Amino acid sequence: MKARAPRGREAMLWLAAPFLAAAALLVGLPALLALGFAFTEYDALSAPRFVGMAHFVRMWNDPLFWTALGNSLLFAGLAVPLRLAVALGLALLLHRGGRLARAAVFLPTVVPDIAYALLWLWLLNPLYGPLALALKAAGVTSGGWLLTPWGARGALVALTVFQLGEVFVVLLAARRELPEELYELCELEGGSALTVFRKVTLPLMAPTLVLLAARDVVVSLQTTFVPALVITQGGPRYATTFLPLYIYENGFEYLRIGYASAMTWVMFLVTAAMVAAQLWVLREWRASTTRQA
Amino acid sequence: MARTMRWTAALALAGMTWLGGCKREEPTTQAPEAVDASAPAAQATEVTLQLFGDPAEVAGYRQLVTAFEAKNPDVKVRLVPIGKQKDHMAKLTTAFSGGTPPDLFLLNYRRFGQFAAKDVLEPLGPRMQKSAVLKEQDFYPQAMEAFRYEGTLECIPQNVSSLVVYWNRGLFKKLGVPPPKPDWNWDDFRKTAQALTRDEDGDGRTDIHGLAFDPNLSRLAPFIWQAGGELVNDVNDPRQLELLTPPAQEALRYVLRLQRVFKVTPTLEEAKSENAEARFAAGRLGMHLNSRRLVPTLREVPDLDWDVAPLPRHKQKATVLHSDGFCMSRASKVKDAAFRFVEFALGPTGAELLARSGRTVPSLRAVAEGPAFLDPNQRPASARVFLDSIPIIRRLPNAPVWNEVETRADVIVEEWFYTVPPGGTKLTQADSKEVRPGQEAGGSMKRLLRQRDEVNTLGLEVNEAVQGILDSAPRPDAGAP
Repeated sequence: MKARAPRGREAMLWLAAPFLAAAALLVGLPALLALGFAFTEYDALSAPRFVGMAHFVRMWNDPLFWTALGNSLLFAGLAVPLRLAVALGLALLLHRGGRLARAAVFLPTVVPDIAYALLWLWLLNPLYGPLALALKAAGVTSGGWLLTPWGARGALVALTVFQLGEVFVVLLAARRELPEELYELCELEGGSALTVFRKVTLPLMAPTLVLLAARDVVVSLQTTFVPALVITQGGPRYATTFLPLYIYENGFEYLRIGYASAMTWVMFLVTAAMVAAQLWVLREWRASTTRQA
Repeated sequence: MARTMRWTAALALAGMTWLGGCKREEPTTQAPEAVDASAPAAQATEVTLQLFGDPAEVAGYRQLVTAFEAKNPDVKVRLVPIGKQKDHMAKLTTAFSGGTPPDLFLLNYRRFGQFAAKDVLEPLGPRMQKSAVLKEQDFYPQAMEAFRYEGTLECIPQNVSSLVVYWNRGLFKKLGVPPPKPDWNWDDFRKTAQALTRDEDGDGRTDIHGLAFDPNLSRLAPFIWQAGGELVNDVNDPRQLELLTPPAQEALRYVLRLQRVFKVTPTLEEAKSENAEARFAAGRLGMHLNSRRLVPTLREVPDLDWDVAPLPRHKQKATVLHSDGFCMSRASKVKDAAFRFVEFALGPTGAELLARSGRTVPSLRAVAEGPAFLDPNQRPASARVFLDSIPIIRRLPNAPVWNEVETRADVIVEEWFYTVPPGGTKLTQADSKEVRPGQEAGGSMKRLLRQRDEVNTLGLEVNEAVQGILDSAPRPDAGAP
């Protein structure tokens, strides 16, 4: 008897099985363990001791935790819209051609994080870096703004904007899937480029954009770790101490695995809440457009 | 059948993923402890040694390992060098967490307490008592005392370094500045730094700085002691910092005036652009405060004529201890072999090798006083400055929370040092306590804020940041000697 080939949902499940198995072992299981540790005093050197909600109370009273959480949310709030806007602009600009330019847009994404951070460390050197020299040539004498809290935050946001290859590729594909007939129709009716963008491109690409925004929020809350560790070391004065860095310091420098686990779960819940909010907005928006139609 | 095959394939894939994630770094050849001495070289016992340092520093340890292995073919030492101390600490704690700590590692006395408190160190004091090679009385007591935790000697110090002034002799000669005097005071120090600070091309930016140092708690400590103050209430059981006392304030005013009034140190922008060590090596810095660990790197800089001088004195002389010790993991399965390496490294042969590399001020008195350390053909010519500093050396706390206290405080010290208040500094060339804005009656918080000035703000902010950490420290064992 010939075996039936899996189809549809079943086939997708089989394809995803290796990833799901690995994710369960390498992400799900550690996450559950971390949830357990969050209620214990654990230094990884001696046995965990149950402390109930003590870490969450401590977190509530820990100004550095709130600073780190605020910095992370601020970073996501600045970086995600900026990355999406730049990626969308580039996708619209390059969807008809420009292979070299597309490759150039994607290239920074393939640079390893540490190498990328070290490169920026040099670029942002306040006296000898190319940016400071360019500013000096342009008549701005001091690169000292890079050493201010907002300058450092801005620099970290700026460097993540260049690593938007994946977002760019997805938006490029989404734009190329849009029916050209619509654009031809708009052209016949004399619609301006801005009108076409507002009335055709943006509504049709909105679901993709919202999904990418949800994904980018998750990424943004995590990708701050390497640049903050290498370039700013969390400074000046905790201005770039993001939650992942603060969790790392507590877990691996001060051996507070329990406290770090509790913060990790709070970060996870905050991330989940932000993604849920975005998906809810998408669903409501879809429902309203369906009603209007 | 096909269903079974699919399950097998899925499980195999999952298994491969799992195994890939759990790959070991490197196979070890650890032999059982009992056969350490007699095992043939092919099955040598492997001892891992983790430390941090610049390439030039690490080269000295490679020589040490090679010399040890030549005399002990049954033991192989795997050196794990890390570039920065912060990364060394993170790797160490991660390795302990993962159950694979190195057998031996070098730790600063300010950082071993957190491991000792968790009882993961094998105390080396009892082993030293039984050793035929190492005798406690042969070592400088200042360094030995720093590595005791609740009365037990946990690690054995390899060096007894201190904070000294590195000075660029070539630059001093070129600018006609007299060299540091052995008994110079704060005023001499400041005047020398001023004489060295130059804007050579007249573009308004300082090209040569008289002085540079990392603004942090450990660098401030000797100035506070020299002014007759204290850094903490009790070095053995620190419960509060003493940065707001009048002597500490005098010291902090002095340090801050160097930066804000006399402008002999690099600005924040300059300091972040190029660290003080690189600036000194490039010949654009007259004086730099550092411990002995800079020597191997500076020896490799061609044509740099430099020497060391003691820290200046004020009301009294004082400097701060810098010492790293060999610590052993309690979980090590090759403790005897590891201790043989410690005996070699800290014994006459090993201590001489490290001293010749320039890295250490040997903790072993005989070597420190001998030609390996005081070699007149090697820089620094005034190596004896390090030995002369030993009687006036003081140490920082080694409490389990001290590493965290310094980490938290140093961020604030750096900001305090570089950030001039919006209205400009109120400090003047002449030292004056009158830098406070006028005080008015009001609520306690308002009064506190009004009493805050650019000097005492450091103590107030550091206290606020670290008091909770100091309060959370465990009480030392009352029964300990």
